[in-house]
Amino acid sequence: MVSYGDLTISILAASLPLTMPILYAAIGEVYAERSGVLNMGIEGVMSLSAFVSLWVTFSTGSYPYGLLSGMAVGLAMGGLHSFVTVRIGINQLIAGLMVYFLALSLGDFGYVIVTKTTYLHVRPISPVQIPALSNLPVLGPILFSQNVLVYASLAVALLLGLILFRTTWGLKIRAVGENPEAADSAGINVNLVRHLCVITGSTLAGLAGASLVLGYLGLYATGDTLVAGRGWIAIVVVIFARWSPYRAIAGAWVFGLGYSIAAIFIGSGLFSDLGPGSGYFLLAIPYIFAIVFILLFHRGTKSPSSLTVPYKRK
Amino acid sequence: MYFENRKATSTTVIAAVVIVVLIVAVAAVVLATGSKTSTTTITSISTTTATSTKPSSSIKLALLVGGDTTDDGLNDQGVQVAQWIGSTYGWNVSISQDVAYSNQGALMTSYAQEGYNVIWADGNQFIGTTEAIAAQFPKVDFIMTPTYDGDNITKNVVALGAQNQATGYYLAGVLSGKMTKTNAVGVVIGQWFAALSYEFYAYQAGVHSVNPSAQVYLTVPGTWSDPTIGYEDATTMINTNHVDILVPIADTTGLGVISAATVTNTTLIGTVLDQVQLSPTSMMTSVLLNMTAFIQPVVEHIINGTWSQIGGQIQNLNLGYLGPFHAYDSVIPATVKAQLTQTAAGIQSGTIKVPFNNTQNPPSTP
Repeated sequence: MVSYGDLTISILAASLPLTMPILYAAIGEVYAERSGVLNMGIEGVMSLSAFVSLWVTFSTGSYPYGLLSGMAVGLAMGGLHSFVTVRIGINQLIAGLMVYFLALSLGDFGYVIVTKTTYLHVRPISPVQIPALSNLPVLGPILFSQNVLVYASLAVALLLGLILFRTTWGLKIRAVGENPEAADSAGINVNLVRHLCVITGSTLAGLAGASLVLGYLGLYATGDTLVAGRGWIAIVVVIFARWSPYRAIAGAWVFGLGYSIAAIFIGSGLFSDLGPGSGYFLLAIPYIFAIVFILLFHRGTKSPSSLTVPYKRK
Repeated sequence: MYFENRKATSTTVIAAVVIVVLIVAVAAVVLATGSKTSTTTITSISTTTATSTKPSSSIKLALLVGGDTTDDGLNDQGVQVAQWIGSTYGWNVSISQDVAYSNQGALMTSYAQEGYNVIWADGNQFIGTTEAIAAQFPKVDFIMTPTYDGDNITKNVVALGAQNQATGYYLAGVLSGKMTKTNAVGVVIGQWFAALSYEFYAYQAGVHSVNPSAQVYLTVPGTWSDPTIGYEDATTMINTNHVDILVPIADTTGLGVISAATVTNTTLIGTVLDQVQLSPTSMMTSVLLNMTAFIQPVVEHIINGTWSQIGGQIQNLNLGYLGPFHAYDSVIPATVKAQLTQTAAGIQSGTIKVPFNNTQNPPSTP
């Protein structure tokens, strides 16, 4: 017999690693969009960086190298996206989709080539049992027995929130996204800020892909089945969070919780009596949550004024 | 003004060049990887190793699979067998991987119109489309692996019965029933089809034939393509139901199951191909599918012009068997190995009857 108390703890504990990749990608996208650039390519960047970080870790046995290589992939793809959108001024939606398809195909291509000789898999980074705290009832397994990448995702969100809202750099970013002409008049190099924000955001998308592989699954799968839409969800989270890294923590967690409920209900056999359709219904839970939360919190949602608008100096 | 125009022109040119380069790069990569309904054509592979009695390089075979070779399972096996046909019989073989549901009909029609003599649709998801397209092209021979019992197929179709792996899963059940320490084992099936349910019921019967008190848990995540869901699903079965042997029949979702089992040192049983490389430490064995035993006679009927002897048939063959035990070879007691050998012999001689059950809906969990 399934214990509902244990099941609840399992759901909450699993929700945090499921939140992690969405959160990394979402806070990166907050920066890109705050500066006025939409990056629709992050799903593909996550997939490519997942492959590269897995390959590097598998080959070298080093998780830091794997994480850095995943971030480097994000940085390079961010450089490409910022070049075509900020430097050249191509439509950001189209450029983002191009980056998505390019990165996704490159990841699958690399994986198919590498797996001709070997199957890439690594043991995911182990959870850290925080002394004393991890033994606490209920809270211990939920909050104090996660891997370091989960804690880092929360720390990065808080740090980038502080930078965005409490520093001059953040003020410049927000000014560039809201009124680039005024920012330019004030001596801010608008396009430089945008380049840096897009590249930073894409680097975090790279970290998101690397964290999914090294901090969770330990494997890669082709055809966008590994990231499986979490990059697109990160873009939704940005809107949901009203372009705030702080609120992105809650937004990403809503989806992580939804995924966790779905998977653990499936695994526990609850609702299986409803027949073969129960799995489909449970898999829809994250999206049902999203609709409910958007209905509850949609008021006051306003995107940065110059989002998707290229800036050319007059 | 002149400089502004010149700058604008130069930017437009750069933009155009970048777009073209990106499009070419994407197209090249997509074509090279075989992603999204990619097609690989093997034209008249050298027949230096051919064993065919009647090489027939004029015959063109098209294989359609729903995923790609990285699954180390059904898709990979279909590609391997098709390549073997090309190299052994000298057929022109075209392989389409990652065929989406929405592309099945168009792709099969295209092959038929391009003069392909044989179209092989490998996977449950192709059943309906194959029936429809076969009816439109009566001169093209179609192979379905598998179809469901009672399917009213036309004379230009030969199909493998859905229970083809049941004997292998029965043996896997016997092994699991003997090896479980927690008296709880689990099966993860991506989506429930009546045609797939033979495998679950045969496995369950195998477990209970040697260990009637063992619990056989089943989960149906509803997706073949989300390893994250597979990971959490398996983790929950391990933590909540204490299963110590897991059988994933779930494609990419199954990779997540394998990952979770590897991390928790839970024993695995693979499917279709020997999946030991997916988890060298946890993969006890795999239920292998001897697809060649079905395909080779079909190929030879086509070459010999005796298709009429098999056309319209659903062939209920027992193609499932257990693969090597790898790291578990020294762990599995000799008495259990002997029992597996006796069971396989009993199935072969008919003294042991493997139940061929199927249901539209999955059974309730214990």
